[in-house]
Amino acid sequence: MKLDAGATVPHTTAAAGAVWAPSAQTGIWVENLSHRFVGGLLAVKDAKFAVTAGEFVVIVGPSGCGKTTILNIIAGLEAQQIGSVSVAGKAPKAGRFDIAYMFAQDALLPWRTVMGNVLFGVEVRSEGGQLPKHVYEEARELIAMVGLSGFENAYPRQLSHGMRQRTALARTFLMPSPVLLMDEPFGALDAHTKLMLEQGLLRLWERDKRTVLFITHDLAEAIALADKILVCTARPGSIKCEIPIEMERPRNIGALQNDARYHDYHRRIWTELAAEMVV
Amino acid sequence: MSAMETGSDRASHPQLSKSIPGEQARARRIGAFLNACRLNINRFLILAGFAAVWWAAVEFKWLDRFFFSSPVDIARFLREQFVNEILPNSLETLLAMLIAFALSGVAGVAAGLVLFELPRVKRTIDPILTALNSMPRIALAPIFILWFGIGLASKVALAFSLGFFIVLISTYGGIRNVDPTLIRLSRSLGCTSRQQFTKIMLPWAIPSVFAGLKLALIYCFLGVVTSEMLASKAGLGQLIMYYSGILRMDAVLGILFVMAIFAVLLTFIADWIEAALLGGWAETNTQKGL
Repeated sequence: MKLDAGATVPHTTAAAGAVWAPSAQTGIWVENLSHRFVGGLLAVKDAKFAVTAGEFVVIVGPSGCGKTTILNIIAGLEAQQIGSVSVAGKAPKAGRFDIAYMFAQDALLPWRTVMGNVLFGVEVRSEGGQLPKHVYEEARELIAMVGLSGFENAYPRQLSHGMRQRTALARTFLMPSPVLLMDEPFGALDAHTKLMLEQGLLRLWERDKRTVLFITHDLAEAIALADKILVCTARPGSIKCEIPIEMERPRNIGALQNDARYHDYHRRIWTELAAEMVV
Repeated sequence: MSAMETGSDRASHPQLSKSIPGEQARARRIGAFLNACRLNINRFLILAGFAAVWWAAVEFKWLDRFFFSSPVDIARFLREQFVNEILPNSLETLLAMLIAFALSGVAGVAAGLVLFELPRVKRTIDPILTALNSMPRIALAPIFILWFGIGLASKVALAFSLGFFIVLISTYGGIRNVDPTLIRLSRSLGCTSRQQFTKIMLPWAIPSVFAGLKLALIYCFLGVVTSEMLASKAGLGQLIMYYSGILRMDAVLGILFVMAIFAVLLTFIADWIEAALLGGWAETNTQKGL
């Protein structure tokens, strides 16, 4: 495994008019990260990778390989034990405003409407102050972008699973955090909804060019979204190899099936993963 | 617009899509109303049928009027004694119940929150609370009567000893059972502990607190009536003891009927308040058409 980690981060993206001008300050560095759960189970062993600023990196790996643990450590939700982790040049800490974390569960507040839930993240981070008017407009725009116009005042229990997850996506993107961590956010959705949300995520990412670290076990999803795919070994998880996805952007997810490169990548990653799976 | 929008015809008609949740809500309300009508008619028919069979059984001497009375006798008693006895004694009972309920509600919610905030205190006094709560209240009644005299205070004390624990346990349980995913969200967002409490824990506990309050309402009523049956100067419980002492079945059953009506009304009012306060976010009994 060859990692060009170090001070020389290639500044690949230069998005004009992006909300967040990507810079080396918003990258993620993980080196020699190991993690042992209470009870002695070694979940992560010597994980090492880098996400440069504005890059969309996807981690794929077999079930239970410690992907989520890595993400939790980066987010500061899990204490860091061995190795070094830095996000935008700083050590991980829970609740950093420059990190937005989207879970596999929608984690919506049942007593808030779609609008209230979308605003929740910025609301708690504005430290009690009145939200400026443009935030509401932005929220409405995001709700439209994820296809929930007309459902602003609906409560989560009135929504389908996919609609709830879209609400959570809008909540995550309303927070102006330059670093996004996404833990199988579309894992529990049907294939159709998933494709729509992936396309929507790509559009939002292309608009803002934020740094994204995305976890999935779905290879098609990984190839469609990623600049670079990190393949995880079986537990204890470490990064087995890095595969840059050299397909031009913006991508049309529906058309990827017709691209020979897509199938090459799929085969290649599948071979890497199959070696890690015990059938 | 965008490839993400499901149901393209809905999304491309903002007017239509806007009206859909409203229309659904209205249709649901009308449906719920019709359901409630049908339900109540059926309930009335069941009760009327029961009364008719009862009445016939007594008229044809299959049942002894002395032991079973008759719906007609009960109705006569209720009509004749409504102003003199039923009304003033009901007010007496309801007043004691309301005071006990208010005290249970305030003290129970406060104690539940305090115990949640102070886990060490909770751990320390847990067995003591369990012991107090498992004490048969009817055994406490004589003590309360000794302490507070025959009157309002002793009734309130007995009812409070029931209601307080119910509200305490449901408040504590509700706030402790908050969805761990929401706590994870709160940590990842960087909520202050105050924000976590007021924006996540407290709203999360509200349905459970309401469930406790509704239960406490009925138990406070039971507590007051029990206390009145043991020793009291006024109240429905005292009235029942008096009439059963002189073997007036029509009166005893009539007063039981009044109590049943109070219990149903109180539950109905509580459900209604709950639905009004919780709005659309939680499925309540009232919305289910009960």
